[in-house]
Amino acid sequence: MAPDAGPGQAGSSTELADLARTLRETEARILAVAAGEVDAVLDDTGEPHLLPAARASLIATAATGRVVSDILDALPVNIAMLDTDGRIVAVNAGWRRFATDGGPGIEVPIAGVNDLDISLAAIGADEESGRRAALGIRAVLDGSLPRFELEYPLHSPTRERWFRLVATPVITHAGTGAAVMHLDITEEVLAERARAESAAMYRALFEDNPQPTWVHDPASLRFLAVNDAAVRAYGYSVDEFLAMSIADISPAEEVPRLLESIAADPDGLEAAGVWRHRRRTGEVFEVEIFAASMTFAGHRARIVLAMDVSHQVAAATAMQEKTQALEAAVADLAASEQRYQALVERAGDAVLVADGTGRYLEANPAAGELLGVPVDAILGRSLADFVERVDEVGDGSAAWQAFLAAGEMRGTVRLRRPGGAVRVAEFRATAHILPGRHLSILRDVTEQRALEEQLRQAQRLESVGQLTGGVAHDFNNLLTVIMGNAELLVDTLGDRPDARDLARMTLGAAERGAELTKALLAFSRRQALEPRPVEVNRLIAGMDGLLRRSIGEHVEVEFIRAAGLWPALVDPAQLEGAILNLALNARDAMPDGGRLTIETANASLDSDYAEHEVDLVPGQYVLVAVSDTGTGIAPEHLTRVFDPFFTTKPRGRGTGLGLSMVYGFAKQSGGHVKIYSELGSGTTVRMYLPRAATVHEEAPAPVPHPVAGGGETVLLVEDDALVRRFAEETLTSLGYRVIGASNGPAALSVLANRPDIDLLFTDVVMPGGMSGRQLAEAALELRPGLRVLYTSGYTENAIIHHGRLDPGLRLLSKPYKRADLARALRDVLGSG
Amino acid sequence: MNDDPGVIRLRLFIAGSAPNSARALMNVRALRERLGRAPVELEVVDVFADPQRALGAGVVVTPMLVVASGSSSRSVVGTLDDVPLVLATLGLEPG
Repeated sequence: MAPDAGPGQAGSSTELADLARTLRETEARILAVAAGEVDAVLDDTGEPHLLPAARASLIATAATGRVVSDILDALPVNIAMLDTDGRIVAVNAGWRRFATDGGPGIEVPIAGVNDLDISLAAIGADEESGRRAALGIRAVLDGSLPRFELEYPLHSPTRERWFRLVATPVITHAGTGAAVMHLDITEEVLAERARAESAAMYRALFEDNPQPTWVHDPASLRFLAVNDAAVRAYGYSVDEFLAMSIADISPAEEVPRLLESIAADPDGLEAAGVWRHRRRTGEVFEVEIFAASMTFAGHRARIVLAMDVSHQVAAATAMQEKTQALEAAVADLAASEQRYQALVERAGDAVLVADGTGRYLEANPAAGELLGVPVDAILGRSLADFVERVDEVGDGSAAWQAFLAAGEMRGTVRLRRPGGAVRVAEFRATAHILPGRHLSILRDVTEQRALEEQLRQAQRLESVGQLTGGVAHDFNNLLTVIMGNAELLVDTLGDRPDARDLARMTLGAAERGAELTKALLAFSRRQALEPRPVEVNRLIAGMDGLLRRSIGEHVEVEFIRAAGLWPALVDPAQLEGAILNLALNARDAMPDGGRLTIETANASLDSDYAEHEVDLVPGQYVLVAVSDTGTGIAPEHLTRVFDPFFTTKPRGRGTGLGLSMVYGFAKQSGGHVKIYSELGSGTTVRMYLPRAATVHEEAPAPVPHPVAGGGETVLLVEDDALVRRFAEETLTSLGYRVIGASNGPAALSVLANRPDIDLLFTDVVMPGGMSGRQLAEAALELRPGLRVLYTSGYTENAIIHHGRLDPGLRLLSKPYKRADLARALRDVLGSG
Repeated sequence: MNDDPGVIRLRLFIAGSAPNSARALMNVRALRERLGRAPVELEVVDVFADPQRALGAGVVVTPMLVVASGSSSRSVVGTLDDVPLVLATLGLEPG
C-alpha cells in the first residue's frame, strides 16, 4: 500500500474505489488461477495476504471457536489441548478448576507446561498411573494410538477422586496434538465399589452363610434362591430347590402353621419359631427359623434362615428326660423307703439291723414280740443277750466275725424271753446289706417245730402200731390154741390135781398173754370197737367203786362233771378201760398220795386249735381229763409216753401199754389225746372223744348164754392148721358136727355139696385171695339164711369201717376160750 | 532437515487455519499414509508464522506443497484433493 494513501485524505475515494476493485479483481484472478484452492497470496516481502473467502472463513471460524470454547468450558470435563510435543496449548474451564478442586497448595499447570511431565507427576495419582498416562498420551501424539483411555485415582487431599483420562489426536497445521480430557468418574467408581461391596456382602450373608438360607415367594412358597448350606443341609441341588416349595420340605402337619406364620409378615429378620423340616433322605429334623420380608428381583419375597437345632432339641429332650427320670427315681426312692418301712413294720418276721459289732440299731415290732421285750430294749444289744444258752451262738464276737466274713448265715436259735419262756427261731443273716449294716431276720418257729414233733411222733406211733398189730395177730392164733388146750386140760384132768394145777397155770399165762395182745391191738387201733352214744358222766359214775378199789386209800378221787355234757360216740367198755388205765398211771405217779381228778367238759375245737395238732379234725368233742398231783413226766420223756412198752416205772410194775392203749382207743374212736406234765407238779391227760348226735336207749346188757353145745353142722374155715385143729376139737366136744376147710374156695366147694351146713365159722384174714368177708358174701349167695360167725386175731377194714363193726356182723375175737366160742355159736344160731 | 538423498522431503505451506490450507494439510497427511513406509519427511510451514521461509522457497500462494527429492524440486498448489494427480505431478508413486 502507498504510504500516502490514508483514510483521512479527501478526494481519494475514487482512487480507493479503484484500488478496491483492482484488489477484488486480483483476488478473483488469483482464485481463478488457483481454481479456488488457495487461501493467501504472498507479496514480494513475503507478507501473506488472505484472500476474501479464507478471510471470511477464518472470521467465521473465530466466532465458532468462541462458541466452541464456551461449550467446552461448560462441559464437566477437564480438557487440555496439547501440541505435538505435549505442551499444553489450551485448557477449558474444567481444567482450570483442577486448581481449586485440588484444594489449597495444589497448582495445576494451565498452559505452556508439558502435560507428559504433569502426568508423570500427576497430583494425587500413583506413580504407575502417571507413567501409564504419560505413555498413552505420547502414543496418541506420535500417531501410534488413535485413542487412549485410562481410569485412575487422582485424589485430592480433601476427597477421593477418580478420573477417566481420554486422549485423542488433534491435528493442526502445527502437527498432531492431542486433546486430553479428564472426566470425573468418582461417583461411578464409588457406585461400582458400593455395588461390589454389596455383592460381597450378599455373598457373605447369603451364599456363604453357613446356615441354610433361602428366598421364597410368600404366595406360592416357591424357592427363589437358596444358598450352599441349604443344599448341603437338605440334600437337594439348587435346581431341584428352585422347582420346589417349602411345603416340599415340610411334614404335612406343619404347613398350616407355616401359612399362618407368613401372614404375620415381619419386615425385619425375626425368629419364627422351631419347625420340623424334612431332608431329601426323609429324615425329619428341627430347625429354628428366622424370616424377613425383602424385595427380590422386584417382587416381594421372604428371606429365611434355618438353623438346625435338632441336637439342641435332642439335648433339651434328653435333659428333660433325665430330670424326669431323676425325679421319678427320687419319688421311687421315697416310695421304696415307705414300702420298706411298711414291710418291715408289718412283717411277721423279726427284722433286725446290726452295726459292725453285732449291736442292734433297728428292730421291728415283730422282733419285740419274738424277744418278749419292747423294741427300744433291743437296740444296743446283741443276739447273745437273748439266746437261751450263749454257747449256742458260740463266743459272740468270734461267731459274729465269722458271719461277717462269710457274708451270710442261717440256722436255728432258742431264745429265752424275760419270763423264761423259750421260743425257737430260725434266723437268716445277711452281712453288709449297707455299708456297716447287717441284717438278721428271725422267724418264730416254736409252734411249727412242736407240730413237726407231734407229726413225727404220730408217724412213729403209726408205724409201731403196724408192727405190733401184725405180731399180735400171729400171737393170738398161738394163744387161741394154748388157751383152748389148757382149758381142755383143766376140764379133763379132774382126777389129777397136780397136773390140773399146771394146766391152770398155763391157762392163766395164756390169758395174760391175751390181755397183752389185746392192749397191743388197742394201741394199733385194730381192736374191734362197738361205738355207740355214751353218757360219759354216767359211765364214770358207774366206775366209782372200781376206781376207788384200784387206786387205794391214799389217793383222793375227785370227779368234776360238766352239766349238759354231750354224749360221746365211743365203745363204752373201751372207754372204761382207758379211764381205768389213766387212773392207775395217776396212782403210780403218786406213791405218797395225792389227788386224782377226773373232769368232763364239752369242748369245741376250732380250726385254730386243730392247726396246732396233728390228725385232729375241728369240731365238737367230749373232754375227759384225768389229772394227778404226782411226780410229773420229764420233758424228754413226754414225747415218748404213748410209745408201746415205754415206761418209767420200775421193771415189773407196768407193761408200758397203758397210755398206748388210751392213745390208740381215742384215735380209733375219732378223738384225740393230749398230755400235759411238769416235773414235780403232776400230769394231765385230756381225751377228746367225738360227740354223738343222740343218746339211744341204753340197750339192756345181753344176758350171757350159758355154755351150751348143739347138734348143728358147722363149716369151719381157718388157714392156721393148729387153730383149725383146736377149733374142730372144741366144736366137736360141744356136740357140733364140723367140716373143716383151709381157705375160701375150698369152703365154697364144701358148701355147694353139703346142704346140711347150718353155720359158717370163718377167720377174717386168710390167704388165697378170698377174705372171710368175701367168703361169707359168696356163701350167702349160695345159701341165703346161712348163719355166719367171724373170728379174727384183729379186725381189718374187711369188717370194721371207721372203727365200728358193720351192723349184723358177729365177731369172735381171738384168742377165745371154749366157753366164749360156745356162747358165740349159740348166740348166732339162736337158743333154739 | 535431513539431506539424505533417499528421503522424500515434503514441505507444505499453509495460511494458518484457512479452509484450503486445512484441507491441504489433511490431504498431505493422507498422502503420506499412502506412501507407506517410504522415507518421507513432512514439514508444515505457516506463512503467517514464518513468512521468510515462504519467501525463500518462492511461495506466492498457499496452500502449496513442495516436494524435494534429491536435487530436484517440484511443487503443487491447492487443496491436493486429487491425490493420484498430485502423486503423478510430483513424480511419486505409491510404494
